[in-house]
Amino acid sequence: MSTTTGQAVAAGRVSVPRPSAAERLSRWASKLTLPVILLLPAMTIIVGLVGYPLVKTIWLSFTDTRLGDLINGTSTWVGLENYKEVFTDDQLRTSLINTVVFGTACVVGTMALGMAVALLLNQRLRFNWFFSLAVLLPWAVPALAASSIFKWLFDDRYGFVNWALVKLGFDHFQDYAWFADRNSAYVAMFVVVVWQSFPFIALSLLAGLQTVPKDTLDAASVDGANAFQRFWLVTLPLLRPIIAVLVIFSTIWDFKIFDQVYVLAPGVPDRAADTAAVTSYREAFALGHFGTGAAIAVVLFCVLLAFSIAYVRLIGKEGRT
Amino acid sequence: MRWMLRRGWMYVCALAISAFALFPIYYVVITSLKPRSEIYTRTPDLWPNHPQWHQYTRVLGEGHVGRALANSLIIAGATTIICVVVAGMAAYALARLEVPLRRTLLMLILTTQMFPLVVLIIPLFVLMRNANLIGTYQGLVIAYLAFTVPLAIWIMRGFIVTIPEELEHAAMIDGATRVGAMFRVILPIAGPGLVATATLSFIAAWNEFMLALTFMNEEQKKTLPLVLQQFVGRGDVDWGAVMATSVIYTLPVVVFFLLLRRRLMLGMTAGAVKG
Amino acid sequence: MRTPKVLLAVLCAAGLMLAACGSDDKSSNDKASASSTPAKLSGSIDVWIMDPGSPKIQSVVKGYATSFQAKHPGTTVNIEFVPWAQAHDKFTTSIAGGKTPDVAEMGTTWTPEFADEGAFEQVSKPPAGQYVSSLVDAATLDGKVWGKPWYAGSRALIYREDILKKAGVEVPKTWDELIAASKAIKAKVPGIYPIGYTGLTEHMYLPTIWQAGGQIAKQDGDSWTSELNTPQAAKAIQFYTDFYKEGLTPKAAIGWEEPDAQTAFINGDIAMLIAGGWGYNAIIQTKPGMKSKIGTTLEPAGPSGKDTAFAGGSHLVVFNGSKNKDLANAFVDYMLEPANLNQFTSEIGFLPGTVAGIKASGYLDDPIRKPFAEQLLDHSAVYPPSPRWGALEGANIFDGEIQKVMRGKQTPQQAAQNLAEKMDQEFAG
Repeated sequence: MSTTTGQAVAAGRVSVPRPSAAERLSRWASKLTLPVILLLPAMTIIVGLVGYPLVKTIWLSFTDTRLGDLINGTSTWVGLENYKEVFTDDQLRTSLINTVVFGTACVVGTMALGMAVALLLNQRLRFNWFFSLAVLLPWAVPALAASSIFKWLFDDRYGFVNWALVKLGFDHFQDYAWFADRNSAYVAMFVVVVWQSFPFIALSLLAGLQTVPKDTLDAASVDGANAFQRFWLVTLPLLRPIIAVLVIFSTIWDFKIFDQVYVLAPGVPDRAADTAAVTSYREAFALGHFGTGAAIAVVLFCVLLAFSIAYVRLIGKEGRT
Repeated sequence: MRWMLRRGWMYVCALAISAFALFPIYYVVITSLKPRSEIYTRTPDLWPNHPQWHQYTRVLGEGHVGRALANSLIIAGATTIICVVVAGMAAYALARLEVPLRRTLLMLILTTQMFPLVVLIIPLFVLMRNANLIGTYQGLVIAYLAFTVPLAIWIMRGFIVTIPEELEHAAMIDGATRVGAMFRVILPIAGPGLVATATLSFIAAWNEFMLALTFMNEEQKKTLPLVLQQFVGRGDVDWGAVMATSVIYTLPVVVFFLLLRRRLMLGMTAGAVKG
Repeated sequence: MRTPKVLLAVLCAAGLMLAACGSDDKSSNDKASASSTPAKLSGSIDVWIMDPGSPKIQSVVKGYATSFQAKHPGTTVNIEFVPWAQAHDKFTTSIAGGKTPDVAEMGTTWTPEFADEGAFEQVSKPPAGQYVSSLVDAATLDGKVWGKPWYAGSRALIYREDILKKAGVEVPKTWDELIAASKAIKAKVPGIYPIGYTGLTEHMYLPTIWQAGGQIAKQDGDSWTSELNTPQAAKAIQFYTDFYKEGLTPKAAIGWEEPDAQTAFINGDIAMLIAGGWGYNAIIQTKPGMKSKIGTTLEPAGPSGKDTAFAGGSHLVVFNGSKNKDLANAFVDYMLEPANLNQFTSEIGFLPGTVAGIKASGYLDDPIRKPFAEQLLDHSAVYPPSPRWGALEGANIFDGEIQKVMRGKQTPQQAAQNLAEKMDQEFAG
């Protein structure tokens, strides 16, 4: 259907005969061809590679499966037993709470810092090249290496952080064991996660800031809006789609965190600092309770799903859906 | 002088953030140059007193870091290219075309991201084993695509959606086809978004550890994260080697950034749309 | 709108079908590879060895492969190194996924766990006196043996002679002497903590239960029950955790793993350390200057008079999924030949798993190394070789309780009780 025909019809000048069923079908099919071609590779990969493992994991969560069961296919169906355990066992429940609280904190921290950096970068300050390179670098460092580095920086006897804090007058931090206590371990992990995550957020927000038409901002300026008002009333609403996407993904990532917690949290007594991903892994691989491990993962999944749906509704129409 | 006051605080912020971002990296570099006695000291030095470069030669030689570097480059590079192409197409379709159940598909794509990867290792392993892809580059690339493509689709779609449709309509009225408009209009403007997504995919594949550990057994094919772990041995951690390897590990990405920084930073939307 | 939903269903089904029916990787080839004549070996095998971390040791192992291949032309032995920290999980994945190596180095505490899943080929029971008996016990499940002891090590007490001298104490031989020595060091030698007892190293705290005269678990036919709910176990936990509570160990030690304690010893932060011969090797290699300052002795004896320590090590196992078991077994036996065995163990600072090997290693004649050999031969035991032990270890069930006592959040008696409960839960499956 070319636009000219459409316009002509709309103008009422030409009347188009009602298409037959066959014609409708073929038109519908040809209208679909392009989308299908464009979508097929991606969907094949996603459904094929992720679909099967996901389905299997969800199924596993309703069973009691040990390593032997995995090999021989002899899992026992236990219904909601695993889920009951997830919510009643202290350690498992704590890990879920940890995940939500810590994850949220990381998202807030990352978005705030990312936005600040994006705004600064958009200002094209002098030495912008230096600043932009500096904020990109943490992203280049692999999570495991970053965790090791920060573990070293926060070391109780030889770490830089304690030395600097003591020098600044906080004697409390002499030989302070950051990773022996849950809350201080989380402070350290927060720093690591935000340090690693903010570059990407900043970069994406910057790209978004650059699609904000200068004319609109100029117009607002002429109308008497100051910098803050311009940001709040013009820029932010225009950035909504990108911010929405970034918040959702940040949340998903930060709730799923594995590497950093795996490296930095084991020292905390009684595994009190483990998050859901680490606990799930431990239940499955260390303890051999594949069913329970799967259940934890599914609960995490439900939490994230609920959040995503709720958030998308809250944001309203994101872009041109 | 007013300039100083207005912009001054921005410079201070920028400086503080730069220090936050760069300090750990700086620390890694100097630690890689320090002998053990200088590393384990109660008053950390911010400058290596006797810089030793032997860690680098050692790591590249005995540690086979060079080979691992090549492996990582191949795998991450392949993943990035395929991911951007595949996800780009899908993102365009989901942003512009009338796809049945678009919302459902988008949600479906999003949900695949909501499981921690480690939980999916065993089923993925079984899948790969059935396809005889364990221990191959292709197997790992495909596995990486599974978690980079969904993310890439969402992010690119987010960018495409903010580009006004009038631009493509203008191009199509000028005679371009739908696909042509996609290339001539969307691609240049979504440039920064595309590069950001490519970078994300590259880094995700570059840094990935768990799957590489599970799928790659041969020494020849090991990627850098695996090789890095070998220095975190049974007893004392070989910090010098760990830091040197980390530096080598980070270099290609830094180069990547240096080359693409302009593309990333300078948008190309200046004046593209009037009202 | 029926049709689009159908399209979606078709898409999904297609995707799932694609995923579900991959090419079946059943072993179609190599049914005939099992040769009957012992001399004619062929084919290739994959061997997983724990990454020793040092390229020097890696080359020793790779040397086995090359010399074996030279002896048996037409064979290929692929050595692949696996990092210790992730090895257990890698084994789990490969066994669950049905693609295992042919031969592997298996931590002794994991052998029963995986043997229970039918992962290994059975080994004929070795004659008594060939191997260190506790190591064979560790590879035994249901009366059958599933692996051959490769190397072993037992932890003993390493101490700073100079610090003990400064504090004016003798080398401690009993629990009471250890406590006294620690307190003396704390009082008289500032800047160094007396001992590095950590919260995460079961090889440091579990043996104290033996030393107190208790047991960890008892086997009853096929099932195991925990023996930790006893006064001896509580006493042991109390002894161990008191060091932390009284400031005789660094504050961070509650979260340390064994390597952290070793590092602390090398850096001169602690004066006494429970470690094995490999730890000793690592210490003097990293800081040769320490060699003249440190001494070694058996672990201190508890109130029961016992000074038992944990005998750890690795077995060599052949997997049931191997397509070339003859070659696999031949290579294992090759690695266990005394000359080869000793070459490896002397490099890494462990002892051979064979009694003859230990006697030939020269450890018993070396005064500094003698305690490690003695400890292994006469004063060591293994953890209960239950298939669930690997899970107990891996999930750090013990650590949590010990840490809670260290923090003062529960009493040693409560800890003993909780541990017994958790262990029984786990044993029951």
